[in-house]
Amino acid sequence: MARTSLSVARLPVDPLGIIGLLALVALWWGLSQFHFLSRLALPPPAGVAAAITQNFFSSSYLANYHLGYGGLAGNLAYTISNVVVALAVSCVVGVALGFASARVELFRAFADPIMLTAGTIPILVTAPFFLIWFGTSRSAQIALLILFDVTIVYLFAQRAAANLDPTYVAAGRTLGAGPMRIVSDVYLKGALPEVFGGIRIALAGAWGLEAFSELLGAPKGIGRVIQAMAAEMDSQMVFAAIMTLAVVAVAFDVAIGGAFDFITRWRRRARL
Amino acid sequence: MAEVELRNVGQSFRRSGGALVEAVADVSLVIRSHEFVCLIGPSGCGKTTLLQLVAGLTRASQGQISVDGAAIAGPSPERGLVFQRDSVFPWMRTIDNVSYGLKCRGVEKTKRIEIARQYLRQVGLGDVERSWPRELSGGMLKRVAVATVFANSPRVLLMDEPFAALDYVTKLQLHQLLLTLWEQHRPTVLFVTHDVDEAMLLADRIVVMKEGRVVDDRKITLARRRTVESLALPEAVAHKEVLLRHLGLGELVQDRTAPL
Repeated sequence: MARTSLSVARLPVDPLGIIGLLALVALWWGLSQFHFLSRLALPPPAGVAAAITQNFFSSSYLANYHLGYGGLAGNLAYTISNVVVALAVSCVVGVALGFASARVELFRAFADPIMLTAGTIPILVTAPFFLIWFGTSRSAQIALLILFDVTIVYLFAQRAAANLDPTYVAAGRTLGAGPMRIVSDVYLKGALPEVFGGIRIALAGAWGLEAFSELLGAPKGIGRVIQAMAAEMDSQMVFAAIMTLAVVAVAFDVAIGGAFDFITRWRRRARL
Repeated sequence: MAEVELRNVGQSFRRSGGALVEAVADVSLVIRSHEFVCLIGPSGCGKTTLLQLVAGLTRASQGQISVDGAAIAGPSPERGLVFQRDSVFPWMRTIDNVSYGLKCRGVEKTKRIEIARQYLRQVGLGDVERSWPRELSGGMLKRVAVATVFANSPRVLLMDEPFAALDYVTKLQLHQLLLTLWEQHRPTVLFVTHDVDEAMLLADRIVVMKEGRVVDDRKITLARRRTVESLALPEAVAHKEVLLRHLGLGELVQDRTAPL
């Protein structure tokens, strides 16, 4: 008898997570409403929401600080595009190198020290060097993110390929799969769940790192907005920029998590 | 069909301590076309290593293995292998697993799905072709593995203790299924087992290995399909007693048994 094939209905967001978020906003509102902290230190949620709506799609206020006329959205688009480009490059490079290192001992001996050294580099300390090497173009931020992302993806891909049951590889070979098919149909598909875990971790860390790297001379971006508004002591806009970036980060995580869940739906547990 | 010949085959490896271990030593064996040979022996006697050599998954240290006179050079879909462990890809639906070998050989999609469906029906799984492997029981997964290998039309079928982890009833059902498929397609079979009853039920010949060497090679001439009654005939009992003594279970055998 087949075990049940009922798929578990899944919500994209955990209801408990939403409750936690609402509790945090309530705490924020309470602290600002009863003046436990000054408005400068903690602007009220309503003021932050108003700053977001007034400056989202266009903002002459932000344009005064050479942050373009596209408002928060324009700066968000810059930040998002850097994060996405860096992650895409890191996925291709990290997975390829990770798989190669898991299967070829010689390559692993060569690549592991390099990747592990890259992983131990204090990214924030090295950031000024990227500014020197790449100038104030977006290449500096993307290169910094790749350095961070590729190490994580590499390690997850390596572990996933090394942990894959060799029976699957042997089965593929005896069924007539050549080396390319073994990589695409066995290693890649079998390793996807672990690789996806690495990609999500890399993405989660990339938002904050991108915002930080923009402080070092990027033409625009949410990090630059935060920097400019902090210099003006406009904490309401600083919070507005942080909140929009946080919402984008959560939305990306939910969307990617949902996509990854769908792609690896073969591993969901059946209800017994 | 396909005659498998092993000539002075040996396989040795070094343990981490440096000691040389001969897993298979000077094995010479001819398995005739359509023959169903069971390879039996105690754990660690080299039977799985020998099967891996015939599959081409491992290269022999010494000797030569050939199929119809052609030396083997690596794995081939002509030599299908059913593993002891689960080898059904969990990331492919049942039908995609069964048709995977055909896909590798370039059979066009409509044709390979048709063939896969035919084999799934034959193994009694026609209604779960869209299921994921995680939704199937251990016995069903073995049926999928058997259907996958037969769908690829191998000339030689290699089986490495395929039913060892299954419950008694499922194992007996799968024996009957395997015999049905073998009678229809008649591949040459090399079946590794440590189960004397399984070997007596299935084999034309039983080859016994001990410490990497072939120590007995017995032809089983009992009529097929074998039943509880035919397996209780004096000839069958005599074979079983000798095999049990080979496996170090002589205390289960009465003194009247034939000598080894």
